[in-house]
Amino acid sequence: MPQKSDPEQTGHLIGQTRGIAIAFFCSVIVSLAQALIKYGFLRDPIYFDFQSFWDVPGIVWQILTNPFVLLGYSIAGVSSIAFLEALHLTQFGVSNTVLRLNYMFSFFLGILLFGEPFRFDHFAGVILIFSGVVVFTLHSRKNEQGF
Amino acid sequence: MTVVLVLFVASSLRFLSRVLQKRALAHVGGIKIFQRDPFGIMANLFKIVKNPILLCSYFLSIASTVIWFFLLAKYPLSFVIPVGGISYAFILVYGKIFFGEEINLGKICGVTMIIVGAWLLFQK
Repeated sequence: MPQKSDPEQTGHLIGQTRGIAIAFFCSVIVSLAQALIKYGFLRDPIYFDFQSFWDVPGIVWQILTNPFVLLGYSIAGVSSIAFLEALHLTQFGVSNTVLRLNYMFSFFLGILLFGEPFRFDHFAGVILIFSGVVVFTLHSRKNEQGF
Repeated sequence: MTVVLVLFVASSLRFLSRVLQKRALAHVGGIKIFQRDPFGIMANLFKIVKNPILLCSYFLSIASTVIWFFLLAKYPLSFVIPVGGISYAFILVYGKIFFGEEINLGKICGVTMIIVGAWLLFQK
């Protein structure tokens, strides 16, 4: 394989860093969007009462008319478009792992914004889940989704 | 346990949606939504509407999102989002069944860590 020249390597490094920064930004934005959706459900509770198939349109209508849910979902949508840029600049494994930092952000947002109780064993669980995602991604086939 | 079951259904629907999307896009030859020509955008959107497999994939994706909304509405944010990591276990199994992907020790270790982490989150 031919060696890359210095400016080429620098350009590659800048691209990678930019990709990671975008993925990090997406992770924060997705967590905020999820918190917004949660807030929407707390403010205007939706009753997921699936008695029959015909209950589905009513539930979907309740979701569509909830402004916080809509806003949160739109923000998540914008973030998924920005994530495409991150995917373009870095390998899938790198950007996907950075995106999964949202497990930790959501954990803390739940505690800070919604007064959910903090427990060390739960925190350890979140760390373990994130580490598991990193290990899984590291051992996924190269060029497919690995680093 | 209900959460795991619901997560399984949501992850399965999302996975199936991705598989259908991949198949449909391979058939259609790629869809470029983000372009300067508005007629080009319309033509590409028409390609989506015309393709039943792609439409079906979007329907499955919406169904999966509604299930996620159900989980978000019912359970604490600090619990339901991290527990969503369990979907990697389903991805591992589906990848093997549908695409014959390799299951190696590293992947098993990763999934085991995720399951143990989720188990810790389930502790009351």
